[in-house]
Amino acid sequence: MIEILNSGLLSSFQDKGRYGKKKFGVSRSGSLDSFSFELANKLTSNSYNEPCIEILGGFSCVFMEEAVISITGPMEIFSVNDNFIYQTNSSIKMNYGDKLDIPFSNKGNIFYLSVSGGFRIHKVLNSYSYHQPSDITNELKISNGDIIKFNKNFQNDLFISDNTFFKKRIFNDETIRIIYNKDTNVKKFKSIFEQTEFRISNQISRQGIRLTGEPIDFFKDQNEISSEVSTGTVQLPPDGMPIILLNDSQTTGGYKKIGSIPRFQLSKICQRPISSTVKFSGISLSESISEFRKMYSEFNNINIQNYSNRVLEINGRLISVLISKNNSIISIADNQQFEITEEKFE
Amino acid sequence: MKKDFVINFHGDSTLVIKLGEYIDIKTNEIVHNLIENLEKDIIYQDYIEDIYPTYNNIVIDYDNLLIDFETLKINISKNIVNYLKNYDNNLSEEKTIEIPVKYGGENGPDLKNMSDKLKISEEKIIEIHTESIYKIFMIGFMPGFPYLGGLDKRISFPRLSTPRTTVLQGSVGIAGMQTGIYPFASPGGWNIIGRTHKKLFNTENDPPALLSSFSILKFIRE
Repeated sequence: MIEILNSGLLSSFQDKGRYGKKKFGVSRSGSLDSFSFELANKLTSNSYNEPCIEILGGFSCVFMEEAVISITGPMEIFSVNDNFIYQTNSSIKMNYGDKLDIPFSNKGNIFYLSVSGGFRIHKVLNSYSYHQPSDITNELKISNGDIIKFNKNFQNDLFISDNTFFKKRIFNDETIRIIYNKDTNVKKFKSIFEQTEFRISNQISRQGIRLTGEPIDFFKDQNEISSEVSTGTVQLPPDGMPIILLNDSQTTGGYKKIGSIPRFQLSKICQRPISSTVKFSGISLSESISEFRKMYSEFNNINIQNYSNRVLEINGRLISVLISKNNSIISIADNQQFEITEEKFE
Repeated sequence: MKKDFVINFHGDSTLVIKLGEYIDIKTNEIVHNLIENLEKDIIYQDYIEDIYPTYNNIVIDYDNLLIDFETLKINISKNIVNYLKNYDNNLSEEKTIEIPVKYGGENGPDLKNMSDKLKISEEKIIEIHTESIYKIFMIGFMPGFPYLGGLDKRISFPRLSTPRTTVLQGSVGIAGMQTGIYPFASPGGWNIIGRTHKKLFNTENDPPALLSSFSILKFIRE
């Protein structure tokens, strides 16, 4: 089991989400960055939908028994027992008493923690996902002092993933693509919207991301009937500042909808750091779907290899060297400069 | 039965069947009869992630790794056309659900203010509120929350200018031409006139929501 020392802004259990419950007013929930979520399970040899801890804004815990875990998300290096250093998108062996710290990152917002063998928790309405806006899944939220049990059938091999896919598809500052709705797919609106530079505000939660910027004053008639919204829906409330709805949003909404962020862009927008800039550009439905299929097949072909970790102390500096099975160096990380050399994958 | 419908996309994994533009009972009735039929046909397809009604639309979330919009649209359209042909033979029966409410006092902290401003006695407001028959158009906003139609316009009343930070679970409120029940404690700007002890949402129950769209709701004074 582990004891939670700091649950950060919001830590919760998440899987792929809760399907078929929208008619009861329950939105899907589920991992915000589904690619980092799935990678976490790959690295611990879990099944692809095994629940992970989703971490927003810092986390620390102590291990009360040995385990093999993985941390995925923004490319960072982090510490165990304040000295050993590891990097994200790899699995790690934890021993009795080890303390894990995942600091607040300025490279992205969301990390996943998977334990090989899986956590021992209970489903609510057929899913392990915490649903932020209601009281129905409170036991799936993680708080300071919680003791969390996991299964012991872990497997010992350690793996590290090539980061090329994540740099290309998720952690970059390219424009965010949007599929416009029929009534907003008009030149006049699009040119205003696409020229505006927005910023990710600190109002980011599992329910949505509020953007700030020059208000978009375009739609005079805001009287909409409450209707469907889904993950990625972009709303324009009367204040002219767009809101991107995420997995835990309400199931229906009354604000003007301008379009939706397609699936191949959802991880990217969720991981875009607070206060960084966002610009949008339109994309067609068919191109979005083919991009998502391409992205998914790239993800399934990610290079994952066995590794071992040596930590060296040189002039008081800790250097972590990751070595592949055939003794070549995969990467070198330094705990003071927090820099990682380019990974070498064969 | 002749009824027009339009199928649109919203994003790359939601299909919307639009059956009308406004909130009206006839459109909502078609939405509910059609969705029951569609559910039976497509719920077991692995590309369907969710299907649910709104006031005037049927919404389908699909997995675009398994099916694309155009194919799904063609399949669904055939189904809808067939169904609408036989529409009158397929009407389902409405259920009526009664909700017991304790009105006024600490259960309904805004009843007195409404009574003063509307110049209608508290007793009369309660009488009007319990005499009306409400239609549940859809469930949304939060788990188990009913969007109700049928509020008597004599007791319509604007939202509070400053929302409360906490409205208690089970509170019954009025906002403009809407009346509703809070399934969970939440911040809110509705005028609270009473409270029910009925639990609107329970994850142990199947279905988990006490109320379902297309049912009739009656408030009973407790």
